[in-house]
Amino acid sequence: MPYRAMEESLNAVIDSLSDGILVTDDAGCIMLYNQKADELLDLKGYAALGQPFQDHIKQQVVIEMITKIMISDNPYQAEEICLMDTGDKRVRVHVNPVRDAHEALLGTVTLLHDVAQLSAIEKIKSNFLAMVSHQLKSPLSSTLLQTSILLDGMVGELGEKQRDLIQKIKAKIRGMTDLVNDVLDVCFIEEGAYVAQIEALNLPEILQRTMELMQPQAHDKNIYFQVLIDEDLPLLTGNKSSIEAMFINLISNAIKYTPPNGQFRVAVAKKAQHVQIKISDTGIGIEARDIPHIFDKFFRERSDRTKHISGTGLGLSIVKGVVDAHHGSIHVESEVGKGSTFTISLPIMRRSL
Amino acid sequence: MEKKKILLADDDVDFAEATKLILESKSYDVFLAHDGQECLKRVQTVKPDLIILDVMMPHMDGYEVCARLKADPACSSIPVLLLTAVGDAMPSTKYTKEMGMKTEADDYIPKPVEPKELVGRVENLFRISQR
Repeated sequence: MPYRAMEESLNAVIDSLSDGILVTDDAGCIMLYNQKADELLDLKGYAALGQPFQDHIKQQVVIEMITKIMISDNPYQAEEICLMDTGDKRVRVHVNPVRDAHEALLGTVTLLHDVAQLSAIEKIKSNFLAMVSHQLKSPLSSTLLQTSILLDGMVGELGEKQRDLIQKIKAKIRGMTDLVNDVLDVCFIEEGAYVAQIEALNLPEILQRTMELMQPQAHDKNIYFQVLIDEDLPLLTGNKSSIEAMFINLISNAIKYTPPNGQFRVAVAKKAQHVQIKISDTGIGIEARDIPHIFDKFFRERSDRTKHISGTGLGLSIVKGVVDAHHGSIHVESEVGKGSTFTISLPIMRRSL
Repeated sequence: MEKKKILLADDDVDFAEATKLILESKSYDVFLAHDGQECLKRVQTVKPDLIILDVMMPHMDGYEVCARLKADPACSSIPVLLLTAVGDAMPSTKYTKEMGMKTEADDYIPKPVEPKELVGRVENLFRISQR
């Protein structure tokens, strides 16, 4: 029981909350709601009290979420979360079951949190990041192009030592460009996943695009790959560009850390309430002592076997960020010299992130 | 055969000069503009066969320039190649690849770009526009 000694002023407390709250009983009748819920769901005052929630709530998303909680047999069915756009407002909706001490369902409680203001701040931040991105990447692109011109002999042939030096400069600039891109990816993920753009995800299509992008790299190292996708894959929702970034990072790692003539495999399948993505390679593997750190920002294995492989140390932290933002999980199995397998589970949920 | 004319608008002088050098080595005639408005003016006098636009420029960005070019019957048939240092990865900003594709630009390349790729895209656009 909550600790309280102010029974009579509880109504005032509920009405003064900045979030909307709406409670139904076990039959789905609306038992309580505050002013903010009235405003966000447009319930028109007292009329809705004691009535079935389906008759008064117009937002299909909310009806579906409450229904899902009510009909669930699973006592561990914890909550449903989603983002709802109502005209000019953006609302984060949480629905939780209310249970007694014996886990019997007493009803549901719905919380409505207005995220419009948050979105405005995020927008400013996004624009700021875009500016920073431009300011950092522009000079890098110019210098990169200039070194390419020198190396291509467009302005005269280079001596061996000159060529060697310029090649090193070029590699450093490439590394800086990758770093800027990765840092920006990290920023975009951390800027708050639940206000990011959420859309239906067509995984086969996203994967195909990624593979087209990565194919030249695999080809250069003569790495054979296979992509297996279940046919009856359920539709996932989430942020498309971040899922794309997740695939790009995982697959480019598989290629980078697999010696020439090796292979890797991507498998996407439905597993109960999840979509499972498995990426296995025949690469150099990860030392057991490093596994707990591979998702840390800027962590890279520093040893003779990895010193010739370039990277920013941000790839896997980007992957982890994306998986977390989609309420998924990731785990790794690896054997040194044999290869690594990354397994990602993304829950099948409606519009939630 | 007369040289093909390319008008390039980029506020980064180093990048513009380097791109000019590359394209000139492939026997194109390259004209420079330093911002969007200058680009729109030069289109009238240069009468280019292809326009390369940086996206983020002062006064008027590449999307806006592209939209105006495509809305003008006098130059709507000139192929436009958008070029930008922003957001090929995943920004939730205005300057994304999707945004680039929504304009009627004929192709879109993120910076940094390798000379070979740039030349390849330019040649490809000329091939398509000749059909």
